[in-house]
Amino acid sequence: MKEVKIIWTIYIALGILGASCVEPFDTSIPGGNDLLVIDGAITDEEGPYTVRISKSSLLTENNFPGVSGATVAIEEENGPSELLIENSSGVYLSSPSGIRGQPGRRYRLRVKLSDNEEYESEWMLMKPSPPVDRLYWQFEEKLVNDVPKSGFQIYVDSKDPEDNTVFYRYEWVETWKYRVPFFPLWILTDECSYQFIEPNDYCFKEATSNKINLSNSLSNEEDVVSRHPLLYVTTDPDRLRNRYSFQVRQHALTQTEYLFWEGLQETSSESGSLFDVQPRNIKSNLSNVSRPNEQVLGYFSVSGVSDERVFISAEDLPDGVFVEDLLTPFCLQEFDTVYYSETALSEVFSKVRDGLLFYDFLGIECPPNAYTLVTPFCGDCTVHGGTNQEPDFWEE
Amino acid sequence: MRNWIFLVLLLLSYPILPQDLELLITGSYQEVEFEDFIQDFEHRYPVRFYYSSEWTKDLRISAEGKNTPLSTFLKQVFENTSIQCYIHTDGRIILTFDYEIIPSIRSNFLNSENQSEDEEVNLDIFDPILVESNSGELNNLESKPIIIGNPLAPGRGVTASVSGYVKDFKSGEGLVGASVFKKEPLIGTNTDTYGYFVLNLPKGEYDLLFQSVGMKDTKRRVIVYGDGRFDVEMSEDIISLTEVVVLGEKDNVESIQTGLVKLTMKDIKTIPTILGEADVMKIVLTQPGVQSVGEGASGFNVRGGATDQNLILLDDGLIYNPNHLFGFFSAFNPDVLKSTSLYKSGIQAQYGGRISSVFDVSLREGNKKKFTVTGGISPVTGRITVEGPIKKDTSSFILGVRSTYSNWVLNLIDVDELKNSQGSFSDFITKVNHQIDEKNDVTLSAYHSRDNFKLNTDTLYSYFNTSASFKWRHAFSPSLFGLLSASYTNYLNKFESKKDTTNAFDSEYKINQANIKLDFNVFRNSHDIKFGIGSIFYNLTPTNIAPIGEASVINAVSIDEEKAIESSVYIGDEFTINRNLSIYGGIRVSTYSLKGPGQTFIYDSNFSKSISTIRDTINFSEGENMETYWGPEYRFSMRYKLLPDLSVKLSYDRTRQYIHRLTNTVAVAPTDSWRLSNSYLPPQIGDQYSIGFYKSFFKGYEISLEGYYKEMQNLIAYKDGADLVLNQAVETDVISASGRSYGVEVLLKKNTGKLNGWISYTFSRAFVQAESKFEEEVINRGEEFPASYDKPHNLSVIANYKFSRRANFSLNFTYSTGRPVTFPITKYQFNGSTYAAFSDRNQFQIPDYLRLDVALNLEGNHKIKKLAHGSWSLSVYNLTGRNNAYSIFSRTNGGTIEVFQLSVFDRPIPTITYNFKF
Repeated sequence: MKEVKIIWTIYIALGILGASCVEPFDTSIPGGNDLLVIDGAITDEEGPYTVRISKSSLLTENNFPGVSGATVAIEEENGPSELLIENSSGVYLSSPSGIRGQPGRRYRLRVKLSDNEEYESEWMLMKPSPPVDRLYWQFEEKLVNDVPKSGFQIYVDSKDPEDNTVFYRYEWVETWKYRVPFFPLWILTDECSYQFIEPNDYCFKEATSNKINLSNSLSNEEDVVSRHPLLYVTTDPDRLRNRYSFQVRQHALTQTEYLFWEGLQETSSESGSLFDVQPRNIKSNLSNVSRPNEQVLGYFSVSGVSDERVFISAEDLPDGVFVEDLLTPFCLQEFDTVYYSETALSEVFSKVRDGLLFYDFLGIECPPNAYTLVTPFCGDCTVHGGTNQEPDFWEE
Repeated sequence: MRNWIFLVLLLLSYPILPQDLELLITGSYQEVEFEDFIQDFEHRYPVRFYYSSEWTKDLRISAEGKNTPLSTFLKQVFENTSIQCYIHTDGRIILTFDYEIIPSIRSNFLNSENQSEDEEVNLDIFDPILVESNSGELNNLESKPIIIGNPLAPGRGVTASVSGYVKDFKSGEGLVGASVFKKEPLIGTNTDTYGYFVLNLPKGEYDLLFQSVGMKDTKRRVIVYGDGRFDVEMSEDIISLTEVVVLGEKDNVESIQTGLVKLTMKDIKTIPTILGEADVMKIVLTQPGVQSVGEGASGFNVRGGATDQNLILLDDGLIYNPNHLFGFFSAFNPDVLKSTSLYKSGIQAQYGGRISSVFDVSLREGNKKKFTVTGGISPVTGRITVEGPIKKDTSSFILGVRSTYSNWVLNLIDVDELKNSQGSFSDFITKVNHQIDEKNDVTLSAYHSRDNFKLNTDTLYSYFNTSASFKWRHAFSPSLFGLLSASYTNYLNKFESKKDTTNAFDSEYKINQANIKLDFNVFRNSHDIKFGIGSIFYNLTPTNIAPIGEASVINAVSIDEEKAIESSVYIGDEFTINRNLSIYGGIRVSTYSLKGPGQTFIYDSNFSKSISTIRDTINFSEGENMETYWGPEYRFSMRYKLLPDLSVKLSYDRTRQYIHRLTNTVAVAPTDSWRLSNSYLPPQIGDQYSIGFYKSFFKGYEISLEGYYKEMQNLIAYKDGADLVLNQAVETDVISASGRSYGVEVLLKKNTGKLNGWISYTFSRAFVQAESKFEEEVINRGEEFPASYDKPHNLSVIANYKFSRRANFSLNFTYSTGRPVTFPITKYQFNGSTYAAFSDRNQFQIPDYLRLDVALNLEGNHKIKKLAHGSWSLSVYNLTGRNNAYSIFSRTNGGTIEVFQLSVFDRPIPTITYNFKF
């Protein structure tokens, strides 16, 4: 009896409280979910300028096909215009010797697709960017994703004595020098002989900013940006191990463009908590000429740019703070040792053909006791995404 | 010995019987028992007394006479009693308690200086009616004539004001909505919340009929000379439990208001009960023009109005959340309710503060005659109500408690899915009522409810509603009443997230308000005039967030408290011009002041308001005026009877609202916050025009057709990217929008027969428009777009079939268009990252809502004298098990964006309930 009663009660209680459910919701809409995306920019720096045209993707996929065969032109108001050339699918470039942005002038983008639909942007004013007043860094310790980390916080100061700029957007490029622990100094030519090679000891790796960073001087009386944080470079491997360079590119924006970037920034920061913000559609400055209500994604950005660079070395770290070397202990385990035998040499050559790198002999006699080889991961710094080529701007 | 000598002497005198029976009495009685007096007197004189022994059983007579005329002598006899006597010419002496019978007023009447010669008076009707019965008992109430007014001073005119109370015989409580009427010509009215009626009746003698749902029809014979009052008690009609009212006139055709839905608990109890509990909110939702956006919505929408635009009153105390557990149960214990009225339009001037509707719920008073216990039990909830007299016929109390015990049940069960779920509520209502004297009565009511639930996540929601009110009603005269009331309300809403200790927080907001008001009601000729004054003191603490536990890294955020005073003065007159035409006109003037301490930010006017455009801050000290708003609210309605069973009604209302609810409709589960009007949040203003046609036909059928058009100003819309909940300067995220809505509502009701119920269909649209010179304040390019509760089609069917006196089957079917929603439709690459793009605000709709509930009710046997009455109810909520979507939300997961729909119930929910009363 008791059992029956409980089952009966379970059914009832289950009904009320366990009954809620979450199901996927079909977001496909009549007319299709793919929208046109136009991503273009012109600055006062030397060209080429790039315009990317693509289609958006269904939420459940990652398909962003480029749109080819479009006629793309950048026009200067009361000035020259230039037709861009398609470089790869959906990517259109201007000529480096072609149109160049001038502060004080207005520019517009016009696109005509292969199906004759025409899109154009508003006339956007190019504002000159004042020189970056100061780009500097400061050692700090703070929480990153709830974990305490030490590093250098990079700040920027800027000012426009003419109070014209007000709205700023920052992008940057990081470049740093690094090495791998066991880079070969020679190649094996024979059982006991070798040949020196130019050691592939240092590489340079680059990363571009991927988050939107904005600042404005609205709350100040003067047009001043003061101690605006850009990037926090932590002591996580590998950036600060050797030498690091940070280049900031400061864009001067019109208010309209600033609001666009600000809106986009808010949309991308939503994390799915209970405090979800209202979904936001950021209004583009591009629209379909004959159908102005068509939703067009993207933006034609027009801005004056000024840049500045700063270098940081490992020596700049305070005493007792260092960048952990995880690679060396790992690579010590990774040595491949071939003990001397008649077939040893051919074995070594075979492994080299397969991709390993000859590192050293063990033993000072000839023939050696063994040959050691190392994986490219531990011996070739380019495997980590860098290049041997020292950048033009690099200073030690 | 001496007495007897006197008697003999008296016997010798020959009784002369002049026209007025001028007997001369000689005798002396000292403290003689009445019965003895009568016996003796009748023996000595040729007279016969008619009376009710009930009046005379403790009476002792002392009187003396020496050749005293009979009438004078009798006057002496009954001097200090309430007994009057009428001496008929043929020797019959009729005693009446309180009322005098005057045989002929013709001479008086015609000689009266006040008599206008133009007036026709039917004088034949003034002969008295004498009722005989054995041993002089007069106990048939229905035929015993009641004199109204003073026959000696009848006053001017052919009509008089007759008023009084219609009460329940068993409990002594006033009956709401009882019909009081006279036939040929038909003149009638309904009793108000207190059971009080006032009628302008022609002078004369006739029957006055009384009808009330579930009560035995009764009548009273009245002889109306002038203004006066009397009370009537009605007894329960046990036989015709489900014979819903058949009146001389239908409520709807008769009443002056458009958009009025009036339900007494008797009405509600005959309507299908889902979950075994009569639920007033569910029934209100089946009315045309009333919708909800789904289970879980903490409120309802009336005629295109948002959920914060309904004034919900429980005995004049304000209630912020009328639902328990996702709207599954109403917050009002059905055993304690007396009547409910929902005003969708035609809102009279005594109501104000919310722009879309007034939902006025009154509580019963405790049974003034005997103790009663009522209740019900189901596997998940239980309720019990105790009531009774404190002092018989004078004061009483009623106490109702209702609770779920699901948490206890869940602890017995070891099922994973349920381990994290929690859902419980309880509520408590009490009312104490005391009739100080005939002219004064006081009432004290209190209500408290609490809710806790978790919805398959680790977030615990809870809210608490507390309300208390005190009322003192004073009758200055039968036509002038005053009511002094004071009430207090507290609403606390919180949620707690303990999903992981580093992000644990709790968030809460609370609203406190105290009301005081003075209302007067004057009945003069055909005018029912109400006027009054009142003030509300608000103290609101918007959402505050605090971390829970030491590991939590959440920052505490608290938003400043808000204080304000809202005052109003009003006057309104409902004028019954003639049998066919009644009009109502009223005006209410409301004023509002936001008081310090507080801050107002000043923004740069060249930009849309945002944190970065704040230029200055003005600080206000305690009590200082931060902002003031005021305005008039006009109310007008009119009813014209085209035919006896067909009437047309018109109304216009303007209303103002100073407190606003901000909802975050994109979250998984509901989160909201309330704010008071400030310099950047002006009061919401609504204007509604409404017209309706009402017809009753055949026997027991009613049809009504209503149309409305509404315009609203200063609605609250949200900027794209708004943070509503944790924003001190909420004006930076809020846009003043305008709205408009219109609709047509059809209601077909069948009130009688084995099959009864109603069908209601509404077609309605509700739009919002946000236009501005600032791009961020423009939504959907400044075009009109659907409001978030815009559901064009809405159909409800309630059907009740009686198999027998003891069994009935009921059905509730609801269908409506899904509500509008905004969701991400695509993702794209731009500037090296991937972003989501959304549809236009409210461009698409979630799937349509469809639900079918059924219930089978079985009553215990109907022996009237049983100790306890019980009934069983077996019901299934959402019989088809359809998972109606409640909200749409999206989550980013790695690089992909996923969109989900949340349904509150995805399966049928059966329950069985046992109701009892003793």
